[in-house]
Amino acid sequence: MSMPERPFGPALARVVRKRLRALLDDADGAFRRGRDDELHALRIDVKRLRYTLECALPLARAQTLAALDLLALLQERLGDLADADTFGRTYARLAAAVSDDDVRAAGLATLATHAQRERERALDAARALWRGNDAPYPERLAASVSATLDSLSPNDAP
Amino acid sequence: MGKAPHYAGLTAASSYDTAVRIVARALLEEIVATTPAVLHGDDTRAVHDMRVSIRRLRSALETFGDAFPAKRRKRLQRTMRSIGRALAPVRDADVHLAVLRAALGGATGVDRPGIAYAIDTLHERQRVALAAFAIELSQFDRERFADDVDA
Repeated sequence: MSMPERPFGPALARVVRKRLRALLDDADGAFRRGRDDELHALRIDVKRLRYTLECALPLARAQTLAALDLLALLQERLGDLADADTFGRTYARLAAAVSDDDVRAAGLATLATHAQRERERALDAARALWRGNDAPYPERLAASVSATLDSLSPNDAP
Repeated sequence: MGKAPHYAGLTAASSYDTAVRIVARALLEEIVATTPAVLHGDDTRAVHDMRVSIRRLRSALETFGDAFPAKRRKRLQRTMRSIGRALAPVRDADVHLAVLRAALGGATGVDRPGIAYAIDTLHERQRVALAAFAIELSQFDRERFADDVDA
């Protein structure tokens, strides 16, 4: 007797729930503390949930697009933050290789200052997105993901 | 943000193993489709698209890896990890260079040498990274990868 083949929809739903929980668990602390490593881990959480949810697009397009739009927005904000961190580290390394009276030092210092300001701006923007204007982001995300999950049963498939 | 991939034929009732293969094959095709433009060296969009496709595929292999026998799964993951790591510095330099070129355009005279130095340094890093990526990609056996996905 052969094993029955397990359907994809419910398996996908289980992973989506797990990924959503991981993101929501990590986010509050990451935004409160603003540490590079925690924000980086949060960005990974967002990507993991996003890429997993993309597998639900052929199954529940309209519901899934709403959640993907929300995730893309958060990923963009966290991406700006990560870029600013990376740029800042690069400028610090370049500046360490030139002396203070080197003609290149002023420009590198200006770039480093700009990267630091950009990081602060990006963190503020990400925190503002998370807090939300009308409804907090976590609630909006959970609601939109829930709408996708409701459509992942094979019986509901189009 | 890049457009979402197209997983044609996927339904909630698809068997798990079939669905995972549909996803992996679609992403592999996206990677292969962007390869010529990436290797050409001046198509930042193609580099971005390929990097995202690789990330998606790595994520799928991690998330749904139990659809493959362990040995084959590890081989698939190892291959994508190598290509992804080789491409990352190419894309990072693309993003950084775009910011620096914009900064140079609005820079004061005193800041210009430092910004130009940063651009030159990153440009050289990108050139080296692209060459390393081309070598990595030349070792990528697409047919074997596709066979591993399908088997």
